Formats: sequence, structure tokens, C-alpha cells
Amino acid sequence: MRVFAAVLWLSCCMPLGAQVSYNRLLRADQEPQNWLTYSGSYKSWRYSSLDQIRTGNAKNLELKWIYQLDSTDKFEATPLVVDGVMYFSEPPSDVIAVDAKTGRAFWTYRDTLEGNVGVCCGRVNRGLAILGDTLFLAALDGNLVALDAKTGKEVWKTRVVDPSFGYSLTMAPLVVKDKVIIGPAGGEYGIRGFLAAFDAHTGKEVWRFHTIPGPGEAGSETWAGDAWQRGGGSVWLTGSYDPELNLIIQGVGNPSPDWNATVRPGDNLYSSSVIALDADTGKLKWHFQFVPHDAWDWDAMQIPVMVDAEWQGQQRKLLYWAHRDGVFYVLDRSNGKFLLGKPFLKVNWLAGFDENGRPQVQPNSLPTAEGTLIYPGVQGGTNWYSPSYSPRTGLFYLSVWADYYSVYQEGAADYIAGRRFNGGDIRQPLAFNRKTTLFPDEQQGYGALRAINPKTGEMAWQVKFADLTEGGVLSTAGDVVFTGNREGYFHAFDARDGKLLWKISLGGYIAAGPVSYSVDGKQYVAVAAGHGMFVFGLRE
Amino acid sequence: MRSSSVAVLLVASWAWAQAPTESLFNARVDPEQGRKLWSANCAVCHGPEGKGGRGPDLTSGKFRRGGTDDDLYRAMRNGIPGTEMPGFPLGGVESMQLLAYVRALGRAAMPPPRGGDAASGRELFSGSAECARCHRVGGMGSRIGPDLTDVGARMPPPDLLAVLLRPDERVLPAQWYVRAVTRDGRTITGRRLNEDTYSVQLIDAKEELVSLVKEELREYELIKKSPMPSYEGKLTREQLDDLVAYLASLKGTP
Repeated sequence: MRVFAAVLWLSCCMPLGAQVSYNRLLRADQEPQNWLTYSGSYKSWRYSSLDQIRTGNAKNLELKWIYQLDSTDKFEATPLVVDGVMYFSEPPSDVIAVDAKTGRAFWTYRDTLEGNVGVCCGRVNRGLAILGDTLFLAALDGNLVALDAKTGKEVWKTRVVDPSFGYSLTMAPLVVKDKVIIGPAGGEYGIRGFLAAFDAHTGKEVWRFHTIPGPGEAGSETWAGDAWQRGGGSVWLTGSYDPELNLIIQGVGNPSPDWNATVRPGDNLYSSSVIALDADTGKLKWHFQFVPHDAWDWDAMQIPVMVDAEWQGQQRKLLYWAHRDGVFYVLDRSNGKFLLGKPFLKVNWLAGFDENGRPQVQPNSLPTAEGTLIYPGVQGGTNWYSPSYSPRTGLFYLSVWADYYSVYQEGAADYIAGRRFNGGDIRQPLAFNRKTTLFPDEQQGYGALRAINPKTGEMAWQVKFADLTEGGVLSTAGDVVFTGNREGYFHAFDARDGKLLWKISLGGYIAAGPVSYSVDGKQYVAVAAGHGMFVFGLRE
Repeated sequence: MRSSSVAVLLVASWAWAQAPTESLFNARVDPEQGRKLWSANCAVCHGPEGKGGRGPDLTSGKFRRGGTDDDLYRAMRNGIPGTEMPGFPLGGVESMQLLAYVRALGRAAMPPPRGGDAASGRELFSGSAECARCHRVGGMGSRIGPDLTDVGARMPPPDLLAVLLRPDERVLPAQWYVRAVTRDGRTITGRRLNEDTYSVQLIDAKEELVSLVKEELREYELIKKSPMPSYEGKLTREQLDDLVAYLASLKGTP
């Protein structure tokens, strides 16, 4: 028996070659030379405990290599790094394995997309997951694909959703135990969202939780008529996992149609909410709806950042959440209890919260045919851009779009399968996409890297940019915060006060989160920018 | 969903960028709605026709607190401190309709352009009106100001006249100017071509392409007014009509 236990321990816990066991994923923060999940660990801090690159020497960073894509689609992926090998997805749905030290390719996987895929926001993919020797790709065309990490060959492929109904897959999967967890994008197409678990060995579906409940299911009373059938609630960003609670913590997207809320009376659960599901069964344990009856497209597609800390004198399992609606929330992640809701930039829709954290919406905030001016605008105060939490500074770092508005117009909401189902339109003076001859006027809002004290929701510091920013954020034990912006700069800032330590112009839109890893004892920082993967290290 | 309707926004931003004659919100101008809003909110002080009363006359097209869209929008939304003018918390599109209406009141004092002589206008353009000193048409003239090769396709004659008479009313970000002073005391001015957090690129008065690093500057200023002088009183009515006729004939190179 003891021998058996020892063998079991060996097989489950020892890093055997490139085998990434579940136990390694559980303890990802104990092997900082690797980057094993989308957000770096199940806690989703996007924090590296490597400290070779520090505030004092970050000025000596230099480019080590670039991997250039064939694709000209927007590059939003976070790479994985496993024992010297970097894996990343190339949009729309290809996969590359390269030497993490030199950027030279071992293999490439070219996915043949099936059918015509309608996507609202670019043919993108945000990354991969790994378990054992297998990589998992949620491909744009609705297939979940398992690849041999050594060869790039397909192990299995499972059809998850049908793109002809507006569904697509863009998120990096989350692996928990022996399951691969994903959900579909398509909140602009009147889909019915879900989060589902697939057997990592066979690709067979194990459980599915509908983010929009059907008749008879709990929460269906928050819908009227058959609106639930096309109620949205997409899932396109990776959640977090708490192994002690055995809970998957996952954000859920906007209800459909986006801006015509009159055709879907009720709170519209579980849209624009965070849900906590039992990782084995997919059963709902608790939920918290940030925006009941959301009429502004403020989906909860943010990374759930899990921190154990004292809250008002009591040790608690906290969840930090800077939401698209412009509010920084702190919840108790064991039960979803609301602890703090504090706007982190200008909002004009919110009058306050009741004791359960239900927002009191200002009168006349709903979209109208004529148009309603609301702060924040439709891109939100922040969005899917990964935030970071540093246990050294205790600060929460994120990209914000501050103090800008959109005019939300309600319009017709006629559902046609596979077509856009927005129910209105948006106007705003702020340019959504970067043009060299079009600049945001600071009176109309600005983009910034922001540090928030999560104990109070107050701003600790910020760095304003001349343009808006969609960059994810990485913090490190060297007290350095890395982020890129859509001007194409990649920066290192002092995590304590936001002082600029180093920057480089990469010449292309940065809309991805950086990671850090090491090979042969040397620390690197990688970020997807423009149409290339860029890797930096210290000058030798 | 995500970047939520990128396509929709792209269209909105594009239209805003390309259509300076429309409002900030790119809303279709509805004179009837503007008139109603005027009657309900403004007429009591500024008079039913805008000729003034308790508040000033707004039909001259001149505004004491600044006449740009931004100035007018702010005055309407926030009021003017130290005066009896209160702020009006109108919806976004309502504000823009009202703004367009106030603009139209100002234009009422401006005679509409009559059919001028484009050939004479062309002579003025490269001659005494000195337009070609800054503007370029079909590859001729200066690159300092906006290229006017297709301005007649972009703007109707009344708007062309309005710009000649009141160039500061609406200056798009792409036409803003930079004034910078280097540490060694050199002053550089030019039209901004590009700008980011740390640097700015411009074309200067000698048509040189100049790139400046902001932290190396002693002063840095973005000039949102037009460097073009008003032609009011400088050209006769006939000359203005001729110039407008010429500009209106510029439809771009096929």
C-alpha cells in the first residue's frame, strides 16, 4: 500500500519530462520558469515570482527574438511556456511551438476552418491550455481541438457549437483535473451561452451549464416569453478555479439583444454576472449579477482575480473584479457575497447599491430611440484585458478607458439566425480604432494603466496614454509592471509608483497580456504585438 | 460582447471622422427637433428667433465664450458661471440637435453663397487670397494646410463659405497645430501628423517632416484653432462667391 502510494505520488506530482500534470497546474506559481495557464495560475494574478528583471535593471531590457505570424488578424493570444518550449495560437486558429530561448519553430498546426464564421470583433484566439502532453485549442469554427504537444498532430476534435447560428470559440480553455472547460462567443448574434466541460482524453462532453436558463431551471423567472432562447450570455474569456472550494469562477457575457432591453424584460440571469460552478458537476453554487437587465453591453468578461486576504478584520476568500460597468467590486468567492462596489472612473448610470450589491440604476439610463448618453461608453471602464495582482505591493493593475461616454440607441430587434442581433446602435465621439490622423481628445476620455488599492477601490497611481489601451498587465516579483498599448509601445513601470523604467516602440497594436518565464536561469518577458510574438531579456 | 460591435463602432467613428459637417455624435441634423428644443429651453431668454432679450443675440454667429462646437456644447450642458445662463441636462443627441439649431441661427445672418465664377475663384486662390500658400490642389500648392483637391465633394457651398468666414468654428483633430519650444529655445510649429504618449510627428512651415520627443521639449502646445485667418472683410462678397464656386468645383482626381 505504501509502495502504491509512493508510485501514485511520483506519477501525479513529479514533472516527468513535458508532462503537465494537474498537480503541476495546481502549483503553477511554484515553477515560475513556466507559464502554464492563460492567467499564470488558477488564482489568475498574471504575476511572476521571477525577480531577475527588477526596477533597477529594467532599463537594460533588449529584444531577444521575434516570431512573425503569417496572419494579419488581430493577435490577442497569451503564450504558454513549458520547460523551455513556448506554445501559442496564431489567429484565427493555428498553433505554433517554438524554442522559448530562440523563437525557432518546432512545429506549426494549421487549422482548416469549417464553414463561414460570423464574428463581431475579429477572427481572434486568446490562447491555449495544456494537460499532460496535450494542448487544447478552442477554434473559431466551433471545434475544440486536442493536439499532441510534441508533434502538433490532432489527438481528437469535438464539434462544440454551430457557427451558422452566430456561435464561435475564441477563449483560451481552462483545464481543471481531467476536464477542459470552454464556452462560446456570440453575444451579438442572439446565441444561448453556456460553460461546458469536456473529457481531456476523449473530447466527450461531461457537463454543461446554460448561462441562460430554460423553462423550469432556476433563474428562468428572470426572463419573459421565449427571449431566453436567444438571450446571449456568451463566454469568451478564461475563468479561475479555487481547488479548496472546488469552484470554477466564471464571468458571463451580455444579454442579447445588446441595447434593446425592452424585448427581454426581467433581470436576465445569468447574463453580465459571475457564476461559481462545481468543477465536477457543473452545478451552480452561487452567482452575483453585476448588471441586472443589462442594456449597455457590459458583459462580465473580465478575469476573476482570487486573493485570500483580511477584509475588515476577518480572513476571507476574496474575488477582485474591475468590471466593464466602471465599478471595482470585491466579493467573497466562497458564497458570492458583495463586500465592495466602487466606481473607478466616471459613471452616470449608478445611484448606489443595496445591501446585496444590486445596483440602483439612475432614472433615464436605459437606451432610447433618440439616444441616451451614458458613462462609461460601450467598451466599458475596462474590458477583457487581463489585470494583474502583485502580492508584494498589494495593488491591482489594469487598463482603463476613463471618463468617456457612448450614446446608446435602442433599435429594432428582429432575430434572424446567424445575423447580428444588437437591437440598436452606438454613437460616440471617441475613435474606437486607432487611426494615425484621429486622436482621442482628452476631454472625451483617455486610456491609462491604473493601479487600484483593492482594499478600498481607490486609485494608487495611473499612467495616462495619448491613446486608449487594450493591453493586458503583468506584474513581477522584481516590482516591475509590464503592459503594452495600442500605440504599439511596450513598457516596464515601477509597480510601486508607476514610474516609467523602460519602453520600446513595437510598431503594432498591442491587445494581449504579457507573460514572464525563464530558460537556463535567464528571465524573459513575452508579449504578442501587431503580428508578432516579441520576447525581451536583459542585455548581457 | 467583447469589443462590442467593433464593426458598428468603426462605422460610427469613421463617419464622424469623415463628415465634419455633421454633429459630434454623427446624428442626422433634424431642424424641427432643434427648433422645438430651442422653443422649450432657450427662447424665453434668447428670444423666439434668437435675436436676444434677457440673454444675448445669437444670430450674429459670434459667441463671446467661444464658438467652437466644444465651447457651445459645454455652455449648453454646464451653463456659464457668473451669468444667468444655466446648464441644460439634455440627452446627448438632443444637445447636438440644439447645437445645430444654434449654429443655423448664426448662419441666418450669413447670406447664402450665390453662383460665383469658378475661374475667378481659382485666380484668387493662387493669387491675392493667398490660399495656395498653405493649401494644395491637385499636386500644386503647399502641404502645410489640409489638401483641398476634393473639398467640393466633401463640403456643400454654405459650409465652404462658413469656413472662410469663421475658420475656428470647427477644426478637426487632424488639422490641429503644434507649437513646441526645444530646450535650446527653438520654436517649432507645424500641423500634427501623428502623436503618441512620448512623441509627436508634424509637417512644419518649410514642409519638413519633423519628429519631436516630448520630454526633450521645454514647451508643448496643441493649437485647436485654425491658423487660417477669417476672410470676413478681406474679400468682397463677389470674391467670396467666386472662391466658394471654385472650391465647390474641386471634386478630386478621378
